[in-house]
Amino acid sequence: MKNSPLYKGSLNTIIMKLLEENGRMYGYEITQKVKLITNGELSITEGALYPALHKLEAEGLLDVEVERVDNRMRKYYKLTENGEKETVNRLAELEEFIRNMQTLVNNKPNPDLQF
Amino acid sequence: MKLTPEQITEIDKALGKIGIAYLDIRCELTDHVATQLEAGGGDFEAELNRYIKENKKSLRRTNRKMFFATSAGAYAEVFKTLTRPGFLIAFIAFFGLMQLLLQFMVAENAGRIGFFIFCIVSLYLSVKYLFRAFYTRRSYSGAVGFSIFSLVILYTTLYAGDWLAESGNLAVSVYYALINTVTFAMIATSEKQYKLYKSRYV
Repeated sequence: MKNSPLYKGSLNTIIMKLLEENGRMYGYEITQKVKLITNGELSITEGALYPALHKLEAEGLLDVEVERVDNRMRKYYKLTENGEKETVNRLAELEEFIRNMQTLVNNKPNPDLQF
Repeated sequence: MKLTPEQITEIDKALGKIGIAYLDIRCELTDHVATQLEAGGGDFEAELNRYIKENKKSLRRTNRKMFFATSAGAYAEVFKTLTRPGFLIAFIAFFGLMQLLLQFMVAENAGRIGFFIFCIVSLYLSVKYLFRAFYTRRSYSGAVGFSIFSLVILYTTLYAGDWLAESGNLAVSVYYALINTVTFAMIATSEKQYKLYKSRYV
């Protein structure tokens, strides 16, 4: 993950959005998907991803399925019903945040409106 | 390339060696490392050694963070368990027992019996957890023994026991009913979580 609090604060929403689109995913798959979508600009480390997944699971937003794949156990994550509702809320919140930031950043000072 | 079962075991052992003790966390990280090594190709032994050497610190940190995230969830589960009707009945039963004891003895002695029950139940919880961790080698991050919480109760009771006895019969009954109900809730949660994790990682 890029070492910026802006990205770190959005990690849970990114994970939930990906799970909403893909149904169920495992840890490594999530890291690769993010890399692919952002053309390598953003890479999530295991140190950021797995604790976030465990936290979302503990909060009851993610459900878990463990399967044996290629001689090892693989843990798949998917959204719970609560998780699906929460994803909608968090995405709306994130979109609003981005809109507000764009307004602030692109704002050209208007001399008439200055105090 | 696909890794062989022996190579997967080697990754698991390497992670165990650097301190990734909980089975569920180790399984997840083993899969992560294995998938990465499969994607990268090259000589397995050399690549695994390089990966572990480069990521030892961050893997340990990840392990700690994963453990804290999961055990926080397990503690939250204890409080959920406490809201079940069975535990309200258990609280009333313990409260009734303490009230009954107070009919026959002074608050200090009744408190000692309440504390003795707590010690026995906590000891059972700790021994069972340690047995699973060291003998069966099946220890999961989400099925913790709640030993820290038990220790907090233990020391609070040791230091506040006399003060509590002076506070009156009602305070003694409520306090010991509460700590014993919480301890039983910890046992119930620990068992439930252990069964859940065991069914996942067969």
